[in-house]
Amino acid sequence: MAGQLRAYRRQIRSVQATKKITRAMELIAASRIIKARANVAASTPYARALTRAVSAAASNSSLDHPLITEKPEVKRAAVLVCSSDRGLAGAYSSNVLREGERLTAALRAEGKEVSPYLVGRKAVSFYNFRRRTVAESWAGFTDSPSYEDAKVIGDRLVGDFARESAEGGVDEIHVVYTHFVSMVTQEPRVIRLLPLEVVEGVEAPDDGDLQPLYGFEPSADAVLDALLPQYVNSRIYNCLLQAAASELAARQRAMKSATDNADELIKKLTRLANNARQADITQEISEIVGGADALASSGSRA
Amino acid sequence: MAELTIRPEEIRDALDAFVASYDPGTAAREEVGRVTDAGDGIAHVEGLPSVMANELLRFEDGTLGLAQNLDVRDIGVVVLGDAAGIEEGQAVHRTGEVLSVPVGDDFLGRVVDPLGAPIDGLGPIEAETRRALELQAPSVVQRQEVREPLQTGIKAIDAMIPVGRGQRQLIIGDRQTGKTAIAIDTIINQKDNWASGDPKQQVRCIYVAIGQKGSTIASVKRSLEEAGAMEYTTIVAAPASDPAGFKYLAPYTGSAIGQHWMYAGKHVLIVFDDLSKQAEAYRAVSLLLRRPPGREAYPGDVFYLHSRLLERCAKLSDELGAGSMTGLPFIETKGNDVSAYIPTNVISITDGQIFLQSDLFNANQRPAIDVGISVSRVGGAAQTKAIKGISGTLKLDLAQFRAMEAFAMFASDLDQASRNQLARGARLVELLKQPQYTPFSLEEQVVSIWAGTTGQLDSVEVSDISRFEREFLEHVKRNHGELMQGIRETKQFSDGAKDELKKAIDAFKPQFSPGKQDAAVPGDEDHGATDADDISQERITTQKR
Repeated sequence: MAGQLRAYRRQIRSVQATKKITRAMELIAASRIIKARANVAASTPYARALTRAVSAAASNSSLDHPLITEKPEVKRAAVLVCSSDRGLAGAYSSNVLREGERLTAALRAEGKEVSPYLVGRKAVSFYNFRRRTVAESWAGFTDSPSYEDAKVIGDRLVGDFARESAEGGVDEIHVVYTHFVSMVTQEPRVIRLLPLEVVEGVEAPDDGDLQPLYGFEPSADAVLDALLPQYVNSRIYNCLLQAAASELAARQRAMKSATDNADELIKKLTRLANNARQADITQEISEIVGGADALASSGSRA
Repeated sequence: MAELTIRPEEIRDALDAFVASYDPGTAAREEVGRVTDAGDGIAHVEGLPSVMANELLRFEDGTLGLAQNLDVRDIGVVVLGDAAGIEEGQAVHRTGEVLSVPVGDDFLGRVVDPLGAPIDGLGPIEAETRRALELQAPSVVQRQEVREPLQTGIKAIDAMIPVGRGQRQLIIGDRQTGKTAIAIDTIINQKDNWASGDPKQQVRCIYVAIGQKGSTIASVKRSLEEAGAMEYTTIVAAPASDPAGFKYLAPYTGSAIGQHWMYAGKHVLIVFDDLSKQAEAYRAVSLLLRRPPGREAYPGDVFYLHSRLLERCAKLSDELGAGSMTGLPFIETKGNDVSAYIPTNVISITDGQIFLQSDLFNANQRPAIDVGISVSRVGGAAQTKAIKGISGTLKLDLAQFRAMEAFAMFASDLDQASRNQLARGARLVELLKQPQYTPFSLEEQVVSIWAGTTGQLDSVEVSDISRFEREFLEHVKRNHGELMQGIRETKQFSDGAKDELKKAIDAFKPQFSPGKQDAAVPGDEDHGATDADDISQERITTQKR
């Protein structure tokens, strides 16, 4: 029927419109992922220097800072879930959210209360939909996080960690984020950020390696006090950058396959539309022939 | 040799005498035709040279037939009734009558077949007179423009797609989208007019069911009876089991009954449910009569079939008593395709159309009227001042909402102005929802649409809108009765009334208790637990000395 043909044409138009969008999103993600990877690379030297400084300060201090001390009884654990603000990135958000669910289950099994801290609108709507209470949420920067964003998150987490769990504080902090392995592989990971664990270096320094001699003013403990929150912020910043790069990579891949699928669908629908068009023509011809036949036979009868 | 003379006078006298003695009465011959072939509800009859088009013929077993094709040697007859008793060679007699039906006030409250015979088992109907089925529509000088409103009691229609008395408003949509519901609600809404006893207000209703399921017709009749609407309604029923001839005639029967009232200066509402089935029946008859098929195998005059029927709906001039007949023809589309043959024909004939969309229906918007593409070409002139004053912004707000709705899908962060428009639109759409069998009176419509378009509902949750509307109307009726009465009687919505209503809604809002969000809470999926090994611990490595 003519309606069939119209329906196919409309469907083709709608798929073409969607394809335009997915194609544009693929190109945008492809151009932005370069910047996101550069951001990860750019943050590395500072992170390394900070790690070395913390390590040096820790080697010379008394190691009784609260951020590196296990609390005697862990009642409440914070889980920071780094998801994305927008969808259309394949399974990116659902993977990281599922990892968050698994971690929550594991922590509950250990008898800990879980208090979620969320990054990204997807995580927020996931928790809101399930009517769960959320300790804090941040959104609007997941594809290009700045250090200030990380600092806001870090300050809140360290602040909550400093308080007693009876007063609404938390006793340990976990981070769930997606690690950027390569353009084709990103894996969700879980780290326990706080309290930090201090381990002895395994390898003895080489003979030629000179042990730098730091002088700490006013004292090693005071420097560690100042450095540790910085270190936590830097770790969170790194997680956010990794997550941003993973999000863009996942989006590019998802949009590429969506564009390919749209092409495939358009091809299929065009064939069906051609088929319907030919069926229409055939029907019209047979109606005309039938009409002419009816006229001829009624003429001969009269 | 005898002389043979021819005298012209004698011959002339003889001829004159013969002519004078001729009496046409004694020579009245009865034409008797013979059935040459019969089958599929169609018979061909030879030997009735002076039969009229649309004349009733009587077969030997008493069955009636309708003369359709007047060919050179024979005529094609549509058998009205059981064709099983008609055999080749039987005699056929003329009745000399063009097909007509009995009409009159006794038909109110009754169910009749397309020949005007009662089929509801309530005894015979006393007819005032008979009326030919095929009749010319009123001429140009006999008419006047549509000027009085026909309140359907459905907010969306009365506010945005108003119907006037004498208008033909098409109701078109897929199966199961609530077409019949709109017609029944409209009929039920005429109850107050009927109860008023004022013939200028009263609207007699005719529901013509063509090719409907018998059970559907029964349920329509029952809902009209339950609503007390049957006393001013006639149902003309040609159920699906009737022969094609009956289904093709039913709308004309309904129209003839309605025209009788219209020419008596009364108001009539006629519902044709639905004309696509009539077209199909006419197609079946035409093909069996071997008329040449055209597009979609419909005969060439299928447009005329509907146009001559719908032209008979009119608003008569004051000299003729200013009666009116409002037509609500239905067309059922297949797969929302309004570009098929019959839908386009009827859309072009009527004065506007109400589109019902199946996706809106499934999205729980009932009545499922697509206000974007539904129009009324003449009804605006008939709208009351009260509604006209408040519905202008309604259309505009909804149009902006529809334009914005597409954006809202993609961009989650919109500016405040757009978000306000979306919120307003969502509330207006919610406000236009209306359950079946709950017609709104004029003053109720004015109050609830006023509340929506002036933004009084913006502070109410979307899910609470219909309950808020219901409770607020109760509140206004109870505490501001004279205000409602004022709107009803003057059909105006004055500034003073607006101020009073504003005060009323401000006073009512604190009393209203918002509904609880008790929607289902989604469960939690079990994804298992993370292994302790998978949690990596952040470490600070101290230097070994």
